[in-house]
Amino acid sequence: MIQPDARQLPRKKPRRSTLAKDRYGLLFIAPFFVVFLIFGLYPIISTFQLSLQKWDGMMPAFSIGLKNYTRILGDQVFYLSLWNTIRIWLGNAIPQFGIALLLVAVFTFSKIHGKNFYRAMFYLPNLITATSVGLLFNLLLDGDNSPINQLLTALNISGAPISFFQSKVLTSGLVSFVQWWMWFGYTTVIILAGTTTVDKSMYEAAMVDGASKPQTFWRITLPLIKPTLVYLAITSFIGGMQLFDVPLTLSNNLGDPGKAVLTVSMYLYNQGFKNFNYGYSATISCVLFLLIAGMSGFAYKAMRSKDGMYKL
Amino acid sequence: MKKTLAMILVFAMACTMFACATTPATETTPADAAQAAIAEPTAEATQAPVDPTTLSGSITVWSSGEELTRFVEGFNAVYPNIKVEVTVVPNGEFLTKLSTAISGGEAPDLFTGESDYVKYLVETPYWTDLSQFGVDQYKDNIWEYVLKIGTDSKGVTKALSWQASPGGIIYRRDIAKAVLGTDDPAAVAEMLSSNAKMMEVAAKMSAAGIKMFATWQDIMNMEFTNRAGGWVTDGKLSIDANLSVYMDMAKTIVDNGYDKNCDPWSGEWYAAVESADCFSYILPTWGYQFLIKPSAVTTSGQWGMCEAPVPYVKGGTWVGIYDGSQNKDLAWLFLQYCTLNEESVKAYASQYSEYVALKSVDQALAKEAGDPVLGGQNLYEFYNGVMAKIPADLMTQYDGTLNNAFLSAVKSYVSGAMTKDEAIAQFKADALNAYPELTIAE
Repeated sequence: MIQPDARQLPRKKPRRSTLAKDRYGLLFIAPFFVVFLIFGLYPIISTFQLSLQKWDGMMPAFSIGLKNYTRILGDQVFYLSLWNTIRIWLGNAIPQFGIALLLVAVFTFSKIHGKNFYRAMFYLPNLITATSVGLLFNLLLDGDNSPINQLLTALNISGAPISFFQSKVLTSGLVSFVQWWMWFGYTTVIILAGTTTVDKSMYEAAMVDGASKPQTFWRITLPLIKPTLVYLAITSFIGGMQLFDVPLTLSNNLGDPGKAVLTVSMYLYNQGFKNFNYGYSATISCVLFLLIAGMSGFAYKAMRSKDGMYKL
Repeated sequence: MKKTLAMILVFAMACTMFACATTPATETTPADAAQAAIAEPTAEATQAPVDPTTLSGSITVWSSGEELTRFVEGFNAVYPNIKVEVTVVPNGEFLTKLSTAISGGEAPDLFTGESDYVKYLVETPYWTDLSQFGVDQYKDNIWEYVLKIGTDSKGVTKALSWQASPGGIIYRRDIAKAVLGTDDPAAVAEMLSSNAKMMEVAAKMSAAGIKMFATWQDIMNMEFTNRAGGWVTDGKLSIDANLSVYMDMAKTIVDNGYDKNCDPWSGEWYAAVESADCFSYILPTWGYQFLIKPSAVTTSGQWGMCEAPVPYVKGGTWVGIYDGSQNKDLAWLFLQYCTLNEESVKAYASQYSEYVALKSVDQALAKEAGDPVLGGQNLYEFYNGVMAKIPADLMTQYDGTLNNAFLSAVKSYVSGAMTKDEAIAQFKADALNAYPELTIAE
């Protein structure tokens, strides 16, 4: 008795149209997957293949097994560049989140005239390409007669003119500063957007219960915008680990002085496009990918599991 | 098919004709050669069995600089039906783009190679052997080092250059007169004839409130020639003893404030040309062409050139024909026009004050009026003198990366961040990091 029913099913018109809709659905999501397969997945696989080879870019490549991976384990420059990258990221991410949260607190709890104007101003540096920003700061600071040094000399600041790019601490600090300057506005805007999701009645309830403004911020606002913060922390970490253009244009491709601002991305660029060790460069790329994937996964899990951010 | 065959025939005839025109010139004195060179194109035009206007097609050129674009107009005046498309590809990404183009089968018919990697390119099979076009007959008229760099380890000439880049010291005549009592190039050269003497003069300049150099980094251009061998010989990296001397000199300069403490190609470096307190730049031909000449406005006529303690060459761009090109014959015509045709090379040199790779042209231009920016000094005459003393070619395929790594190490030393031994150790580590296949020579 079941068979005739089953045979009849496809003949029913509504059913057919449902099937057709499914196919349309696939068609609609296809562009992303086609682009992703060609420009995302294929390069990743091909990079992994390349990391097992020695190739100078012009002559035929040949396989060298895991040699590149054993090399990277003992590569001091790689560890240095990794430390530089993390240090520069921490140097801008901590103040970036600090300032952004402060601004959010101010914007949320005080009536400020021209709030939108300030928000736009803070966001503005983010619109300039990183390369231009790096070059701009280089022009402002490089050399004894640079505009900043002229200003410092005119103000009789002791030690002026300062050779900014001969000091490891100053150069590294400058990269962090530039990154902070470029991104704190973005972070502020995104967190502010997150705060709009907080139900106003919660603040009112807190007020009725006699909570102070700081208490309200720490106990209500912050926990409720946690998903936003997690998102920002992860994207900031990924961006930070891929830091390339600012240190390159601010200093040089070697990350001088003394590799102080040589980031992992710069190091893999140098190995590939300056020294033409494409195989090793691909290896650095793979290791960086694994590190970012691992750390992001870890951060996501750690911040999610504590009190279940999606259970709100 | 017929057309291609006809073109090859025409080309073969043109080749034999060029051979007739230049062979006698090489046996004559330079002055005669120059005369012959100027007369040559006329001879070509009258004797040519084929009209160059009948040659047609299009060729693509990738160049890391603007220079080759400057030849196109003149080339098209002779060959109006050969379309030349020059694409300027920035030096930093040149090899990457080139390798992609080659593997994709889209390589240009001609492409350049900068001094940093030209030695690498000549060893690859991508530049074709130029002897098939009869390059040998021109060889006597090309400065030896230019030819040698364009020739691979097996003796096959694959690339040529329109330029040669010898160097000296470019100095301010007015400052020389005021502080040293003379602005005569020979007398100034004598006062600067060794590194030690340069430091003595630097101290004198310093006492007069003048910086001897724009930057100590420029001196490296000279010190790289002042070596017994290149960075790498037979897979072994060696640091010449003279480079160690140079490191100390750089430190002395910085510690005593003998330079303007700026980086080459920075705004301040350019500005120092017009400043009242910068005496000299140690730069080769391109330094004059791209820095001094365009920047000197109020100081025009106040510049002079004198020999450095060591005659040197630095930089340069070579150009060759892609081995897989379908238009090799037409490409050769363009290459020949830019690098071997005495008339066009001379016109180019006069217009852009560039020192060129053809001896006869440099010798002819040495007899012409001097450069007003240099107070009437003739730069060709000066550079011809330097070229006569240039030692063997010290360029290696590792130069691009190793020069930068060395400069970075010396910077760490002069800024006091590292001791000299640490800086040298750093350089060795960086060199091995970039090229793990190398070993350090004892």
